[in-house]
Order: sequence, then C-alpha cells, then structure tokens
Amino acid sequence: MLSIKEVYAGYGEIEIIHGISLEVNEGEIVSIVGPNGSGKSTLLKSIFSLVDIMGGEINYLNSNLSQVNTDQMIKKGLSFVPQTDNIFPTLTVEENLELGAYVSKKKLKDRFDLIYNLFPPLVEKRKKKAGTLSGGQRQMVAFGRALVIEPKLLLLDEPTAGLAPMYIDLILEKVAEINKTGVSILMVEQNAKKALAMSDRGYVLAAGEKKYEDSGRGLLENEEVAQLFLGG
Amino acid sequence: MALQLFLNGVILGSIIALGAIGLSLIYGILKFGHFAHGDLMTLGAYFAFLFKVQLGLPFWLAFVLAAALTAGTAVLLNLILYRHLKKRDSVIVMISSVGAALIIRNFVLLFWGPQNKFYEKAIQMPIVLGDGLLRIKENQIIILVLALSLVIAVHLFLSRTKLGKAMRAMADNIDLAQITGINTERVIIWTWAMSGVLTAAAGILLAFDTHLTPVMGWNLLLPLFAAVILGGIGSPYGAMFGGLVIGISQEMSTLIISAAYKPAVAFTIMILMLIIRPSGLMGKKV
Amino acid sequence: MTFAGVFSYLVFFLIFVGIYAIMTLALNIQRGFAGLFNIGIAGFWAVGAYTSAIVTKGPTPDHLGGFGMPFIVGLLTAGLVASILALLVGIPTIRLREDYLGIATIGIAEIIRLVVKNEAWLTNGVRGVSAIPKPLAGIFGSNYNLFFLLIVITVIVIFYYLSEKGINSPWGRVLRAIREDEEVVKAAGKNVVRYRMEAFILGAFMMGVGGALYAHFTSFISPEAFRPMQATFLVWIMLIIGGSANNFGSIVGAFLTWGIWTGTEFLTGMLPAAYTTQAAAVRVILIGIFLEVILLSRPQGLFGEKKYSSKKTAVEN
Repeated sequence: MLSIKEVYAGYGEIEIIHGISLEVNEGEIVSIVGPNGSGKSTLLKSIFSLVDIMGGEINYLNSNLSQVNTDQMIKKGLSFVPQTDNIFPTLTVEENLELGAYVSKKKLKDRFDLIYNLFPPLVEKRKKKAGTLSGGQRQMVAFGRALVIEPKLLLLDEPTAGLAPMYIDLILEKVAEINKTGVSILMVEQNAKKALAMSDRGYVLAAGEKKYEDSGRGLLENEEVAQLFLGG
Repeated sequence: MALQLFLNGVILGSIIALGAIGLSLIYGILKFGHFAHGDLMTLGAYFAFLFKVQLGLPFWLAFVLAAALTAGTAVLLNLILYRHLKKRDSVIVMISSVGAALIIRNFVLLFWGPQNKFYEKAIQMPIVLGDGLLRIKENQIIILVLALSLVIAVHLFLSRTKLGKAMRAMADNIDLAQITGINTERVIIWTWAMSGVLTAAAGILLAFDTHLTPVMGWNLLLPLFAAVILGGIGSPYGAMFGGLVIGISQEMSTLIISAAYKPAVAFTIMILMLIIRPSGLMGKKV
Repeated sequence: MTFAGVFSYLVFFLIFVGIYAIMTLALNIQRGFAGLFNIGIAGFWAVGAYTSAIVTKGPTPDHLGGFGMPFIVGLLTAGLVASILALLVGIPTIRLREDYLGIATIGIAEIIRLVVKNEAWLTNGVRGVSAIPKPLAGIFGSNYNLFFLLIVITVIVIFYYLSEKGINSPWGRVLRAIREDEEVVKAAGKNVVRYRMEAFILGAFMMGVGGALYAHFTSFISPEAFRPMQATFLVWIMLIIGGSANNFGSIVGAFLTWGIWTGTEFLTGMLPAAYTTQAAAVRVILIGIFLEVILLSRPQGLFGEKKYSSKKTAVEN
C-alpha cells in the first residue's frame, strides 16, 4: 500500500537520505531500525512532506503523495505519530482526540470508546489538559489522536522513546493489538530487538542508506546486523 | 477610594483583556509580537466614530461595521506584509509591524485630526452607590456588560467550535496541527479576523469610556503585551486574566504612586514575570 | 539663495546626518551583528541628551545641574549612563527571545519619556533644558557649525573604526558565529547571553554619545522636542536601507534616509500653514510605506551584509 522509491530527502541543502526504497503491504508491521543519525526519522517525515524531498517518489494507495494535501492523506487513512511534541498540551485529552477527527465531517465519538478501551488510563483523565499527564500517558494520547480517524496505515516515530521501561513493553503490546484490528504499521524504533521481534519485515538503515532488508526474524538472526546495529 | 479604583481597574482591565486575546493568539500561532495591535484598536474606534457620529448610524451598526473593517485590515496586513516576511527572521516581521503601526496611526491623524473626539456630546452623571462609596456611569455598565458578553462568546468559540479548537491547537503546536490535517493557512486568516474584531471592540469600548485620540491604542500597547506575557503567550484565557490584573494594578497603583506613571506599572509587572516565570501563568514552557 | 546660504544649510544637514549615522552604527552593532531588536532607541537618545546637558551646564534653579563639566566629560557620562540603562534592560530580557527585548525597549523608552516629563526637579519637565553649552562656542563665532560638524565626523570615524575592529576581533567572530548558528556556539561552551549583552551595551553607549551631541548642537531639549517613534523608526530605516551588518552601509543609509525625510519636509513646507499636521502625517505614512516596500523587495538594502574575513572560525578559537 505504501511504496517509497529511491527517495532523497533532507533539510534545505543537507541531504540526509540517499536513495532509499521501502514498501509496506497491507496488514504488515514493518520496522525501520539503525543507529542514531541514520536517517530513520527523516525517512518517516518525508512521507508527510515535513522535510524537503530532493528526488524519488512516494506512493500511497497508488497516489503520488507529492500531489496530495495533508488532509487528503489523512482521509485516505494515513496517520502519523511524531516522536516529540506529539500532543496539544493545553488541550484536554478529549480535545486532543477530537482533533484526530478534524478532517472528518463526523464527530467519530464511537471511535473514542475504542481508544479508551485500548488505553484505559486515559478514561479518568479525559477532561484533564494533556500536558499534565505523565510521559507514558501522553504517548497514549498521541496514539489515540492518530487512531481516531480509523487509519489504514499508522506511521510511528520512535514510539517508546523516553518512556519508563514498564511503558515500553506496554506501548509495543498496544501496537501489536492495533495491528490485529487491521491497521498496517510502519515504525521507526530505537529498541531494535523488540521491534524486529514483533515485525513481519524490517529495514536496517545506516548513514542515510538502506543496508539490510529481511523479515523481522531474519534480521534478528542475521549475525552481521546483530553485531553492527543491535548491540550484540 | 480603593473600591472605586478597583472598579475602574476592572473596566480598564476588560478593555485590555479584549485587545490582548487576539495579540496572544497571533503571538502563539505566528510566533511574533504584533506591534501594530494597539493601533488596530485605534482604527476600530475611529471607524465606529465615522459610522456613528459622522454618518449617523445606530451604535450597534457602527460597532459591527467598524469591527468588520478592522478585521479586514488585519487580514490585509497579514496578506500583504507578514505572510511574506515571516519566512525571514522574526525581527524583520516585527519591524514591519512597527511600520504598520506608524502608518495606521498617522492615517487616523490625517483623516480625523489630533483633537480629542467623543461618541456622544452629553456628559453622563454617574450613578452613586452606597452613599458615595462607588460611582459608576451608565456607559461603564454597558462596557462591562459588552466586554463580558464578548469574552463569553470567545470562550464558547474557542471551546465548542472546530475552528476555535483548531486555533488553540495551532497556538500549542503548529507542526502537529499540520499533521492532523488542519488547514493552517485558513485558520491563520480567521485568527487575524477574530483579533481584528476583538481589538476593534476594545478600542470602541475605550473610546466610549474616555475619548478618541490617535495615540489611544499605541498608549495601551505596553499594557497589552504585559497582559499577554503575564497570562502566557498563546493562551487566550491567560490574556483575559492578564488583562484584568494589569488593569486593576494600574488603577490601584495610584494609591501609592503618581498617576503619571501608570504605564510603568504594566512594564514592571511584565519585567517581573520575565524574570520569575517567562512562560507566564497559563502558557507553555518557553 | 546665496552660496553661503546653501553651504550653511548643507553643514546643518550634514550634522544631523552625522548624528543619525552614529545612531545607525550603534544599532548596527546591536541588530546587524548581534541580531537584537531594539525599538527603544529614542530612550537611549533622550538619556544621552539629558545626561550630558545636566552634567555640563552651570548651576540653575530649573533643574538638577551645576556640575559645569567639560564637553568631553558630558559625552562620556552620557554614554556611560546609557550603557547602564542597557545593562538593566538587558538582564531580564536578552536571555529570552528577541521580541521580549523589543517590548522591553519600548517600555523603557516610554518610562524615560515619563520621567523626563514629570520629574521637573531633574529635567525641568515640559519646559525643557535650555542653554546647553556649545563647546568652544566663543572661538568659532559664525563658523561654529562647521566646527561642530568636524566634531561629529571625528566621533563617527572613531566609532566606525572601533566597530570594524570589534567585528574582526575574536569577540566579533563569536558574535557572527552566534548569528549563524547559536547552538553550535553554545555547544562550544561560549556564553551566548554575555556576548549579546556586550553588543547591546556597546551600542547603547554610542547612542548615548549621539544623544549628547544632539543636545549640544540644538542647545535646547525637551520631552516634546522630537517624536520618539519617528526617530526610532528612521534609524531602523537607515539601517535596513544601508544593509544590516554593514557599517559603511549604515552611514550611507543615514545620509539617504535623512535626505529623503528632509526632502519631504521641503515639499510639504510649501503648503499653507493650516495643513501642517496633515502634512506631517502624510510624510510619516510615506516613509512607512517606503520601509515596507524595501522589506518586501530588497531587505538586504543597498549593500547587503558585508562579508567579513574569517581566517579562523570562532569555534576553532
């Protein structure tokens, strides 16, 4: 459903990604791993045109994304959870979720129940300002906001970054749960082992280029990958 | 005495609050201090003068037309100037707003002249309450009612409507707003329009309470900024609160210092806020 | 229109250009080199003017005074007081965003205006301070203005030289690096706030001296004497027209802008007296539109930012 072909992207004059190709098929969990500075986040951001694209093509459901507005992308089921600053801090939890439904004509209140079921701690916090929540709870709000619109493909930029250990496993469990409901996942993750363990396929990036591509299990068992990138 | 000053402070504070809401939102969303905001207040007041006194229209109609024209001016300023200059550094766009302020101020001076003007000829007798404890003019009651109504309207808009929430979201996190599919360009235009309406209202109420003069808005610019900083940049509710605090402080300060130094009160509060808590009372972390 | 008349006017004109050039050079250090947003120039101008006036005049019942100091002491004290003011304003605001400094400078200019207007014991209030001594007035007689012009030019040369030296020094290189990429400089362990503060104070010193020169030339100053926002705004136009971060541009910008400004005064001066306020308003509107047009179409001004040589980058230092 998503195909990234030979994309070059970066900021202004600085090219960070040098010709990467990548694919996500329906129903899959695909992980992008690699050391810091390898361009993982930039790759994800280029899908939403948040960085400058210098070459290549990104297609989603057979549309070239450079021709499509952000609200169209979202209506077609593409949703993004950034790594940092991914909630509206002075808005309540509920209002954050409402903004997830912004592009839709309907209020999508029934989706809220689904999200509260997925993330029960949010129920008692629904009227609280999102900025007052703990790191893990804020991540739940960020997820919730992206899920309201019933996305087909969810992009996650380091979903466990900065979280306490108990939240890391929790969030990754939730990701798996969300995938079981039919949402495809493309995630950039620092916790490479855990991510690859739950992924159908994975890509290993280094210095802005694709180094390895295989099934999740395949990459985990690949000795070279293990040595270089997964920390043994 | 103190009670009277407090009341005067609430009236002035409401006016500052109305002007500060738009300033705070623009600051939060567009990330620059709009130095022409005070002069938009002046423009609104004089437009109302044009319609009410010079053209003889009923007050409510003059109010609406003046607010609309001021909103249009604000949107136009953004369209011609700020939108383009924003891409360069923030100092450039701020100096251009200083220029816009000067242009508007002198435009008013050119067309209406420097003398004080009034919406009504008659002088109102104040209503005396509590055996001389409190004096309040009919105009001032109307001002309080109007200001309160507008503040409630703004609150309902910001908390109940999609556009209002989008505005607050953009003031919080403009990048994330874009990712949620909000049409940021459109919301920005609406923010300017709303700021124009509110600041025109503030100007009209100010003129209603005292009189019109070409520097009336410019003289309030410092209190406006102080209110915004006190309440927290990007927080419209903070601006409302900040406005009241500044207004009341300014008026009550005359118990201790000379009335000539009232503007210094706003300035001092602002500097203290910047030292102690730059993000303001209700704003995000700076 | 005799030759002598034209020459005399030219000298008068150039003295004002000179004073404004000093202000522009000062603003260039603050804005061009350190990226600061000072819209309270009029405040530093006034502080410089009043300080020098008070320090150099003989005793008078009208206001604080009686120090009878020489001209040069007046200038230096003016610069010093302006610098102290800059320090006070800068402490709470320079570590924060640049717009906070902008608001603070407007505030301080306003407070100074209020103090000057209301503290009659200090400044004689709205009646102003008159009979400010002109240095060596007795000696030059009718050629006095020419002599004063030489004083102004000397000050400009000194400030220009100091500014150029400063910007090419290690200190200046750090400042330029801060404008390029603040984070890199911070990572290298430099105290960014201190450098900005120093630039702010240096510029303020120059503005104080400029204000003092103004006071000694016009011999009479009062809170109503000039319109603060207009003066501040004119200096900004001068800076932008010349090209920010370019000292030569600053001087040319002052010359051109003052020329245009007084030119419009000539034109409107030909109108009947009844139109004076309107004419003044039109002039300001025109110069305001002029600035907006420049900002939109050629923000780098005439000369653009000067490329200063850097044999070593500040970070390598």
